[in-house]
Amino acid sequence: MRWSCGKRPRAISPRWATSARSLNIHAWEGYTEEPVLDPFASQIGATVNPQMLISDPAAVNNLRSGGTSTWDLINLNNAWQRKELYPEGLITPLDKEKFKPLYAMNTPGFEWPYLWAMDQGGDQLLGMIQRYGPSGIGVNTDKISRETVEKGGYMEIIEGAKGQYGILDYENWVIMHTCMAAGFTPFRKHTEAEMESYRELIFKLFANAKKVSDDQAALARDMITGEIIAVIPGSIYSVSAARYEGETQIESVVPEEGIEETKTAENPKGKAGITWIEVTSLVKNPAPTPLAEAFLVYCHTPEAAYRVAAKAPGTLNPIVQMGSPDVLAQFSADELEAIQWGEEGQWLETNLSRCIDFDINPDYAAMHDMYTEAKRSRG
Amino acid sequence: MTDRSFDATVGTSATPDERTGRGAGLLRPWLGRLPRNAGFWSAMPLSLLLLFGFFGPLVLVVLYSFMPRGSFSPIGWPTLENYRDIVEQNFYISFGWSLLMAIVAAVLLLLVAYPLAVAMVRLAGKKADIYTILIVAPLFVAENIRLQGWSLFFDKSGFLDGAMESLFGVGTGSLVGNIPIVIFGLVYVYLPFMLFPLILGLTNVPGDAREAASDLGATRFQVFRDIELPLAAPGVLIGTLLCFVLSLGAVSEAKFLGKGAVIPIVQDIDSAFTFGQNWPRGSALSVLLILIAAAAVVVVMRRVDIDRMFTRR
Repeated sequence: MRWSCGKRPRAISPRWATSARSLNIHAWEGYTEEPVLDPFASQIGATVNPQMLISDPAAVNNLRSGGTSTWDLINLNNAWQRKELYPEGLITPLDKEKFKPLYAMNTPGFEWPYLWAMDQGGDQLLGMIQRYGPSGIGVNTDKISRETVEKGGYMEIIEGAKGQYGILDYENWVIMHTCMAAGFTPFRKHTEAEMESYRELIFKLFANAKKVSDDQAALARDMITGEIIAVIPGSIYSVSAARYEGETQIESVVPEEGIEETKTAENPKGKAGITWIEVTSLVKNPAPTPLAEAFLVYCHTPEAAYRVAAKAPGTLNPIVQMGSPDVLAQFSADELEAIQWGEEGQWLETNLSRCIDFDINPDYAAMHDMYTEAKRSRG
Repeated sequence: MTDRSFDATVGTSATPDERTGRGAGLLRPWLGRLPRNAGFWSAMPLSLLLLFGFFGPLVLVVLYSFMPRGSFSPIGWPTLENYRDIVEQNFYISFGWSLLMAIVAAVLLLLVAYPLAVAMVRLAGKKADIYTILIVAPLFVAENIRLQGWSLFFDKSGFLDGAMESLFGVGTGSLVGNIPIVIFGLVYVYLPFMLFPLILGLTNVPGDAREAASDLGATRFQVFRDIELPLAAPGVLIGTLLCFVLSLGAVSEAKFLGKGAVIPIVQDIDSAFTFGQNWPRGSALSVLLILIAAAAVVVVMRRVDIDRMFTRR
């Protein structure tokens, strides 16, 4: 099956409907809910078994420990596919001829060939990209202005709002943002001095925090009630549900002044936040099903793409397919406001321009040890 | 099945092989060595289940705990690095808080549940049934949902804060995010696990014994100390042990109500297996936690006559 660039994908081929009956998906919440899965299942006449991720590393471990026999599709943040799953033989490349045309739907910056969807040689297509977003600091702008946080950066919260902020305890993200706050990228080897800076800052981050929770809705509620004024880290996924309910004072803010090593002539202020983008790949299942490819195609229909973006429980997120007018037209003004889209997408674009791409942290193990020590030291 | 009927079917009846004369010589010595009592065979299904469903995973966890960091297989060159790391890092904080909270919760549960158990034993009939239904009903709702409910109740702008604000003009603010509220959560969740063993223990106390002691001049406290408590001790010990072990392995209370005020050891184990990508570390922590729980079980079970408790002999 082939589609021309920018064209709406056709309905799923009935060929798939008869060749397999069950699809097993291990994915983040956008892909595991009824509004997305039910139309696909009824259209295909198949059973879809979703299992929601609790973290990227946990899902990767599941695959490594034999999960390739269980799942057909895996949906993770970028970098895992390119740097770990494909080199370890845990995922299978997609048919480029079949899927390349779908990249024409994407917003600028996510066109073919998109780096994080390709293997390291740039030859194989490892997955399809969809939800994405900038990650910085969640802020109640009634309590502390967007401008103050943009100018003051992470330390405006960690030191300036001591005892008034929460930590959204997605452990790898806390580690990554602590690195950015300490002034260096998490995504390379670090010197001893940098590790010491990181250690000092992560202990301070936890010592000064009022609350630590992995419940983004609870932390958003705490911002609304004034119990806390900010959350580190804070991405569109963690504030959009509150914004959609009319609490538009809750925002994801990315500091203006970035880390030194990201400053260039074109971007003299550098980058302070981190962009994540989810990539959905075919698991190297010993008994592959054509339903897996069919599902990827289905997620590019305007209606399904919209539901992936806006119908997940407790979160709304931008999707790269909003570059297609058919997809963009699905969103209401409130939903666009919830995802901080802005005029012609400029607000989102500004925040993205302040972010480096999510990647693998080579010092993750040592940094995670320090992270857990810092967290325990609160008690 | 009695021992006699067992003998009739296994020990003496002719098997198909014996009838045909094939294989009988091979099987007879093997069958002859097997125990011929019904207890052995009745315990066999559970024994097999425990062997493969309980001890098997336990062996895996122990093996993993001796694997180097980054291992996703239990087979490899063993190392003590995980245990060394646990000693060198500040895991004692998590172990300490988990132990302390489990002990405090078990003691509080005993204090709360004992009078209730006495009331339920002495209140025969419908009243006791109502109590039982009220206590058991919350168990039909998932623990996380119940704890989330308490979080919304105690949090800022929650039910309590809002009610106090509207009634008296002064709110309570947030009452979550501290250690006492975590212990409250433990007491709330594990109350039935203390209550029902206590009831079982108290039913071992004959009313006649209490009356006889009173007739002989014992005070109410003496009756409680010298008659009731010793006879109900197995229930007290079982309930306390159960609640201690469950509280030791609890994590939701700290997450939903503690909001990071304290990190129980199970949260560290979860972190090692998930975000930490460090199964060996998680396994080593699990082994240590199991050893602590096992030590408590051994200490208590040496003082309890389970047979007497359940058969009321």
